[in-house]
Amino acid sequence: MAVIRAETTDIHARRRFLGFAILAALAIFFVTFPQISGVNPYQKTVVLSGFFWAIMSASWALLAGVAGQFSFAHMGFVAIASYTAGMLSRDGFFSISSSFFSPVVAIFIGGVVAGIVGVIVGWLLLRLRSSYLALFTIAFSEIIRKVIVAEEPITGGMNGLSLRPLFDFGGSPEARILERDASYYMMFILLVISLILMYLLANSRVGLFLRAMREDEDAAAALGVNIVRYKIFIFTFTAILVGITGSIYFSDVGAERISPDALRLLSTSLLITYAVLGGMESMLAAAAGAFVSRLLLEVFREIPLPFAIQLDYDVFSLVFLGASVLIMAFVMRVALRLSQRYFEAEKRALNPTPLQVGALVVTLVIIGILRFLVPAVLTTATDSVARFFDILLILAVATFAIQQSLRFLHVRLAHLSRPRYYGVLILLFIGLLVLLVLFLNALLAEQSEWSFPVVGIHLSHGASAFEPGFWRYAVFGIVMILTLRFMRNGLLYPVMQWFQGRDVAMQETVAIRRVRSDDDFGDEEAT
Amino acid sequence: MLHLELHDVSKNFGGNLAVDNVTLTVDGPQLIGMIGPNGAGKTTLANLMSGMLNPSRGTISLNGRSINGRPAYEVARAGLGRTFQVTRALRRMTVLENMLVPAWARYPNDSKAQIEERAREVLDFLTMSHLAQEYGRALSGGQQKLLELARLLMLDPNIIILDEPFAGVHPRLQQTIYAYIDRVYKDGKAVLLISHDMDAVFELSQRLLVLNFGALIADGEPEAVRSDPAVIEAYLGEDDEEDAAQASGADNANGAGGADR
Ligand SMILES: Nc1ncnc2c1ncn2[C@@H]1O[C@H](COP(=O)(O)OP(=O)(O)O)[C@@H](O)[C@H]1O
Ligand SMILES: [Mg+2]
Repeated sequence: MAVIRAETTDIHARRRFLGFAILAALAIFFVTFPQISGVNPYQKTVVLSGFFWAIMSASWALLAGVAGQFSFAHMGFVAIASYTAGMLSRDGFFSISSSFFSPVVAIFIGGVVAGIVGVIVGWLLLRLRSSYLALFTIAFSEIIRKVIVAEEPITGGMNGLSLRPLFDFGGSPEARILERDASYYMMFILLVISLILMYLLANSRVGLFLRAMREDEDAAAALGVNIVRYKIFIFTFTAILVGITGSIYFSDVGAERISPDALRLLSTSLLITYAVLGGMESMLAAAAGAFVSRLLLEVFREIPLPFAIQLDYDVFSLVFLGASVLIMAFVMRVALRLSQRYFEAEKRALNPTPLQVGALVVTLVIIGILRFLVPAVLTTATDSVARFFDILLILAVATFAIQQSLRFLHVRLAHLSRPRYYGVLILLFIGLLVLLVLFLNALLAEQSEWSFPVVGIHLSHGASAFEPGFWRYAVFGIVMILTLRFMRNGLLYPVMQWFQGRDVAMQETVAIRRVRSDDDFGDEEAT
Repeated sequence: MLHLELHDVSKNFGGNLAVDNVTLTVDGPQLIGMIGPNGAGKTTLANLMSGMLNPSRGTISLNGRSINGRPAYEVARAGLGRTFQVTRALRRMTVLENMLVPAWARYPNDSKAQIEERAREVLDFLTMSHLAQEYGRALSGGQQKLLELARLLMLDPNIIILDEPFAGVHPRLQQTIYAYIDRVYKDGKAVLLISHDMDAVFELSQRLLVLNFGALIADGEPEAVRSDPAVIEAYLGEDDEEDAAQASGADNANGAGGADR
């Protein structure tokens, strides 16, 4: 056994070295990046914002992935710190001349205030778990946003508040370049420092307790872990970290101001999505997920589309879509419950089980009844209500079809090795995408317009009205859902597990078990 | 020091009196069995003792200090550890990490290497050293029970409460648990062994507590308790004594239970 363990330490050391080497190479690249000729200011700003979101997602991974606090309050802390910093460095505010507070001091105080609010939030959340915690923190963010919007004289309302830039080298064009580079390096250093800090924390005694808290608060308490202290600690720690990072980001190049837009639920949801996509149990994976996603979203903004489709998707159908997804999830659950009474569940079958068909039928019946009943009761807006239920019907069938085909594929492909399994799935997905594009193009070649009024889609052969800026999020969402369908722990999870030597540990397990079971035979003969 | 005292302790959930005026003292190393039908309040009493619940009335003190209103982690660090009837492995942490938690909570200044060495010894003793790197969620039910016992050894408490350790456990594993109880007793700890099955604890305990409808109806030598009419009544209803003797002699009749709660 000792031999096995010595070997594994060896492998661990080698992999750790490889990991450090890769990180060092990346660091060197990012340090030299602004100096590469041909890199324009826009690209620097994009990378800089990639760093910022990497810190956001990584710290969220620490909060949610390590400590188990699925919080939506992240951007709230950013706003508290940035607005504090902004108000302190504003002329005449609190009748103090702005020169009294240098931006550095203002940012520092902003971080402290965010930390204090973090203590309060952590304390308020002590008894809340999972979904309740998420709801509370959403409300917290929204309340802060509303207050900021309402208190226009102090906060600038919807227009936002300008912050004194951290780096101010005068107004000349050369100085601008210097300022931008300084901001870039500042954010990069912040990223490196916070990643190191969070890594050390997560791997310390405190990190162990945080993970124990994530798994089971009561059990951890029974084992001697002071839950109250660590819960408050982790909220305070991340609040200070994102507060300082955020106020530096918003006082720097490009932005130089913070507005309530930063607090929109979309920003928070996106930073969470990046973390989940990368793998929320590892801060490094979350940071990488955020950085790459930000870059891709920027790239999508510019990509010329291979075919020109004009999408006229009015705002209301978007609202409908959101609402219908939620309602669908609910109705599906109810339907499943109802059907469960009549059918035996049988998983992994090739064909849809009676249970699933039953669930679909019940769903369709429920929505069908509502589709005729509700418009009949209402006197106004009957058309849009009926349309809404039509969408629900279509969604129900579509969900069923997608679910069934995925399951069918899974059963058919289950015998393949993992890489092949995913390979085939990805190929199929790309194939379907190509087919869809071809189909749409063919459709639009025959007639220049095609609309699908039920879901509010209107396609037409036009110049360029497709809004990639908006649709990239939709594409991103689809990619994310598909990713998580197959890799629940995030894309980088297997990579991180490899660097941590998980597979070696398992080999050790098997080896010891083998030694052990030999022993066992000996025992049994003796008795 | 090892002294646990419950004085007139009651606990009600709404109108349901789960623990009814219990007074008892645990002083010095001993093997105590606690039995009682399903729903008698055994788990609730364990929760009260370990600080996970607060008594509605009465006082509980550990080593002379009241633990009323004190958080569970303080009780654990003061030297009272317990297992859970429904096992609570930390699922996305390895077995070794599971064991590191209580050890580091109790002894913050020990180095990780020191603790891991102790953990390996404990794992060896519980015949689960091959599982050191396994995640909690990957363990079988029996292995999770062992993990709870292992964590408890790492917490190194003076009083150990085992809530239904034999429920749903393979006979071979049962032997391991016997050895475990023997070991901690010889280390000078008090063990409170909770079960709804009298036979399982009868052989092991030096003192037997019987709980019925939340009230402590007997406390004493196992032999004396076994022939106590109130206990027989609680366990066997109106049946006569001959039946009772037969039933308790029957081989582990309701041992497969453990489904209470
Ligand atoms: N958290 C709780 N909330 C409400 N009632 C509870 C709770 N825990 C236990 N009870 C009730 O207290 C009584 C005793 O339960 P328990 O202590 O689990 O019994 P035992 O462990 O002896 O089988 C039962 O009637 C149970 O329903
Ligand atoms: Mg119980």
